[in-house]
Amino acid sequence: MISQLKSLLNYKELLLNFAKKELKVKYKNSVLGFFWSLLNPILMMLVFTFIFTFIFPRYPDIDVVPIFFLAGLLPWNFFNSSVVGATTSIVGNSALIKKVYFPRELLPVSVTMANLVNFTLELLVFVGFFLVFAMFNSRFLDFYKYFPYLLLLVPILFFFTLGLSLLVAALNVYFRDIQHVVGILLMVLFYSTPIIYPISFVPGGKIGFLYRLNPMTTIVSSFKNALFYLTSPSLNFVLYSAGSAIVMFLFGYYIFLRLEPEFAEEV
Amino acid sequence: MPDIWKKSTEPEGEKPTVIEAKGVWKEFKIYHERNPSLKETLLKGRRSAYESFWALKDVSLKIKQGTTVGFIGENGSGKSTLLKLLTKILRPNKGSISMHGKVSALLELGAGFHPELTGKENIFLNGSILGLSRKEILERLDEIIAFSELEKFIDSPVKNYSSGMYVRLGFAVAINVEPDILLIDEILAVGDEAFQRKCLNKLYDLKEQGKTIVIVSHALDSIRNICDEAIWLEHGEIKGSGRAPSVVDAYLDEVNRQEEAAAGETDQPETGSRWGSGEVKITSVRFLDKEGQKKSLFITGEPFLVEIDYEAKEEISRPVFGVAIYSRDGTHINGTNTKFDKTIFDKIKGWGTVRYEIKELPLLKGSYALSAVVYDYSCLHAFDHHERGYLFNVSSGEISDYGVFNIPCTWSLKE
Repeated sequence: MISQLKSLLNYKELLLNFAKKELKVKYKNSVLGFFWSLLNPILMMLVFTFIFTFIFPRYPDIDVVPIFFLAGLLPWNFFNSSVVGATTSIVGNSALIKKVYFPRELLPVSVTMANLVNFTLELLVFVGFFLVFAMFNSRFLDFYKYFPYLLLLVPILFFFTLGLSLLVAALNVYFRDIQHVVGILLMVLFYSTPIIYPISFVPGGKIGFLYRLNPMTTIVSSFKNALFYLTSPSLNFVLYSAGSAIVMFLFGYYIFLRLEPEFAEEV
Repeated sequence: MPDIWKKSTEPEGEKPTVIEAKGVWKEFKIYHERNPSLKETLLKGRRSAYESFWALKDVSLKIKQGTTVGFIGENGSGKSTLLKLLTKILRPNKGSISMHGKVSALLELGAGFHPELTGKENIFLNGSILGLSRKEILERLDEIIAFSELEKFIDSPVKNYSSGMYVRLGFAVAINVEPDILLIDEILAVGDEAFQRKCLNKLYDLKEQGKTIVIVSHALDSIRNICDEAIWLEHGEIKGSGRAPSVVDAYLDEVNRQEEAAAGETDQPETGSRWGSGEVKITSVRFLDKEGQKKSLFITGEPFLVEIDYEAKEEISRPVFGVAIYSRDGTHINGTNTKFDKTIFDKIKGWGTVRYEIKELPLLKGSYALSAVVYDYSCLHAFDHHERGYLFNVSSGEISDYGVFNIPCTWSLKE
């Protein structure tokens, strides 16, 4: 695996080109183009804000609902679109796989990288939101103090996502069922991760423990600490997230490399 | 072939081996029914039943730097599989393959083009897929665009390109990769005549620059001309290797033998139409070589014999036997008869055979149909007429001429 990672360095330009292609192709022929990637989470945030403010007001403790949602939706969207994109990244490029050699992991990795670019831009837009909401609520003036936690949290999220992406990309070559299952599982995961509700809603005890085993729970709630609550993420959560990310990455990459030699025959 | 295209005869031993395969085996699984249902998959385990097919069996080869090697063999002989193993697209089940130097493979022109991206964007994407760095692509961009002759369209998405434009762009990128080792599969057969020549010329350039080139092709003439060496694969095994012309000839001989064996088993099929009054009937028509052996594939320049068996139910005076040769597209190449050639048979009755002989068959590579007829002396009344009823094939052999006929000629220079 180490030697494989080293040989990837020779392909860094191809990786960048694949990632560029992902970004370019996604918004070709749409008028707003690249802005859709920024608009998407904002529109989702508006929908949730509307629902949970006017139709179904449940969050009396939360002072600025839009920021609350965005803090969970941004990392989730990165995770979600990376995994969905990676699932079909190998089978969708069968012509390429059959006719040209390059390390196959470049395809799912480029999908994740393209989404990382989006994610980074979204976070920059998020800073703008902070400034706007700081006018209404002075506690957001302190946001910059907690922003540096992202330097730790984003890589954790990235490697966790990448590991899962590699896993589903490889498995989908053998079982096309995966691409149908992934959508459903992601929806289940969305509701079992504290994105649209605070983690304090989750009961304690056994259920709470099981709930916190989901690495996305610890990752997303750490993001929420840094972006919304403006507190330091809990050390336990960060350690557990980092551990899961490493395990997921190693496991996903291992399976990928095991299955990879036969991709050209199976796609 | 001009001498400049022939490889200079330097001692081979000094060149290092750049491609080496040792005891390579490759298996393909042929699934009869692929995962019919999730239930069965779960019950039976991962996969449904499959048959294994060994596409390559214990293949070993060494290719030295600077040689151009052609892989030949019938469809399914494993030559494309071998090429894919060299590119690392496929992995061998057993054995090892080592390559030294920057490898570039052209298995399909424009593989990896994205329809939504413009021609120029695709040059960068495809170039990097083929192993070029951004800097290298920038240096060659003008050349690539000029070669593709797509200056006007280079900024529009390739989904709007015609298939010819698509292939041109793919080739323009591919030839500019300039690797140490170039692997090519059948792309010589793509595109129009002008494009094929461009492709061939570029290959000769690369060859002169001392690149190692491996070509898989059914275009045996190209293999014979471009390649120094050829490797002949049959059913996944190396059947012959060595200097390209002799390997190609050995392969062609084998194909001819097989075709003749197949032709020998069944009598010439009567395909064309037939008419006539029937006083004389043509009962059988055979193609023969000079030894009188039946065959259906001739080499240009060989003797060509046709025997026409007839049966005359009554005595017929001065019958006229004729033959006509047509190319497969229906062009009437030649028609003659005993009367034209002033060979008069006074009378015939009962069984007999008429021989038609061409000392040196001038036809070039292709499929041809022969008509065999017998008429009365006026040539107006047909006793029996088999229109294009008999088929035979011609291979050009050592001759590289294009067209239907080999016309012997000489060249000279006047200064």
